[in-house]
Amino acid sequence: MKKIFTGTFISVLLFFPVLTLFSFGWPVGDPIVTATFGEDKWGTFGHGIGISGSSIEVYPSEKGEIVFYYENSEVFSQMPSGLGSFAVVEHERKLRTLYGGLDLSPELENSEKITTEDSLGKAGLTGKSDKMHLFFAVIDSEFGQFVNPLLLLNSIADSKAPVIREVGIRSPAGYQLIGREAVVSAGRAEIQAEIFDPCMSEDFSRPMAPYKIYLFLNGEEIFYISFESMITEASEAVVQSNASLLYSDYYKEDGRISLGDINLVPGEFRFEILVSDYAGNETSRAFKIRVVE
Amino acid sequence: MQLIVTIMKKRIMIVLFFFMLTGYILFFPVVLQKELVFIPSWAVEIAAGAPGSSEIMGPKIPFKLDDRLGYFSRSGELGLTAEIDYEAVVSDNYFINYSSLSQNLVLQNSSGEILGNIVTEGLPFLLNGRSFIISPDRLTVTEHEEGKILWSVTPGSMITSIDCNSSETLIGLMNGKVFLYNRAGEKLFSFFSTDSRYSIVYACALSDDGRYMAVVTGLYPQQLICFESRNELITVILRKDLDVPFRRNLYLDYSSDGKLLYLEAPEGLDVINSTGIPKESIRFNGIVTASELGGVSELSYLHVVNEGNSILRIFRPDVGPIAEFQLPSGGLYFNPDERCVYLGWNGIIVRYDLIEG
Repeated sequence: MKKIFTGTFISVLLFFPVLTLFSFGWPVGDPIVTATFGEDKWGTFGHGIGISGSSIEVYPSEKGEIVFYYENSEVFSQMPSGLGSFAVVEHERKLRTLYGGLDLSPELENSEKITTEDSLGKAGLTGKSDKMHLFFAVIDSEFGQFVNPLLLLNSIADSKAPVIREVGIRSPAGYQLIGREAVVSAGRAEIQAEIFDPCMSEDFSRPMAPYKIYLFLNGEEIFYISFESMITEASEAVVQSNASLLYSDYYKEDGRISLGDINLVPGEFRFEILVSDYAGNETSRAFKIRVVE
Repeated sequence: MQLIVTIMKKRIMIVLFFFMLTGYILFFPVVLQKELVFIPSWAVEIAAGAPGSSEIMGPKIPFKLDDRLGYFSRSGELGLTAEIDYEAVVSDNYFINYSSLSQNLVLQNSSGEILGNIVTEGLPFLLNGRSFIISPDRLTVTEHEEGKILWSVTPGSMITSIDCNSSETLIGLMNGKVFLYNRAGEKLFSFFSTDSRYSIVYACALSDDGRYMAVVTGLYPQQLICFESRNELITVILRKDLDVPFRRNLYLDYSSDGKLLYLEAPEGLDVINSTGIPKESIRFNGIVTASELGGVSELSYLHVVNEGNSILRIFRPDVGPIAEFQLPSGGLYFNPDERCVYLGWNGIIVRYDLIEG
């Protein structure tokens, strides 16, 4: 538990200025989060969030200045856009917010400075999506990273706790599902699990990433991830929490995630997985493993 | 007597004027340009149900117009046609017809046979004869050759603009950085301007021979920065503040011979000599949505959209405007070929032969 405190302390320390100085407003009314930061999206860590709401009118989260917009049609562009039409607003403190999947407001072309009262357009179907929702991302220009928008937006009610559907061990012998108790062979193995945060809306069934995941071995933290910011390193997305984690090291086949490698030696061990979402809902699951030669 | 002198003076003046005019015409003859005539050669309807076999003789010319893609021959025979799902890329060698949620890009040849597939959520596009895929989040760009991945790069920020020639690719990013890559995906050059309050790359261009590069970057001020590559050294040859900044991608492209750089301006295009000397302007209202720029003494084409009006402007940089086609609003297909241009709108493709009279 000491390590939880240390990890949380480092996270709070890292994002203290962000968390205390900013509070962004939601870009749509009565928001429902339909995709979270860090989820497995388009073959990488999702670097923004999806938002559905009662109103499809989209407003900037904070006053700022339009620094870039892209419209799917008309404007000369060499590339198509999976984000559809989108706008980027520069705020103070070198933070930028990006609003994707928009039907851009016609007034945008002549807009420079904007307030939270000025519509950017309507959430539409202009991106790589089959449902109407807004893609929202926060870019920290100073540190060249995407920041989890859910750490900057006011928290919203969420009655659904994260789900730990399946836990298993992958070893050279194959993948072995783990129940409450299991017997496994000694050697190097990877703990894998199917963990997700369910969406509040029935219309969006995509498994979302939770906020934090811990794995304890006999009470000692051996794995921790907290989706706070993301950079690209060596051409691959990396989530930064208390340690950097590559997308390919984290997301595995069949919707599972990796909770790290472990060297299993003969004996009995107690594992516990603890998962929390942004509203503070927690789910945990404990299991015993007897390791044999 | 006074009257006779006045008449004589008038006659002398007339004779003098006549000789001066003759001399002027002899020494400064008026050069008349040859007349360029666009003659419709054939028209073909590409709408569903249009006649056409899947096999046609000779080179197959790809098209994408409205909601259909396909191929036709130079003589106007229609080959394979297909309805576009969500979007499509159509090249001489292959086409990809994909849905908005596609996770697998299927490459088919001009006869419809499957050549291969690429498992990706990305969106394909063609640029100067090369095939790319941009990831939906715009963080990764990949080049493929008929389905075989050549290289891929995730440069660390959203990609806002891209240009390439046959051997290099220039990429501009949301964070203001510019990178030049070779076809092995190796970074050859990087640039970042600290002159502006906000850093973003709005446009980038690379000449066909790779000698010149240009970027429009930043806000407050927004700058056009031109580079020249000589003896493996890339240097800035022009740094110019733009009077009116853009907050979207803007048109920036070199002529095919690399001698001229065309830059979108509030009312038309500014033309700049590749060495950085402003040359002239092409004035019009609207936004360039497609182009085919020839060399200084070759035909160039600009498709401009303005408040629903669709105009195809044909000009030669050394001569000036040559022709202007007012087209119905909506989708346009245009494909200049040797001594002809294929134009398509409202489901019909027309071949115009260019004849110098």
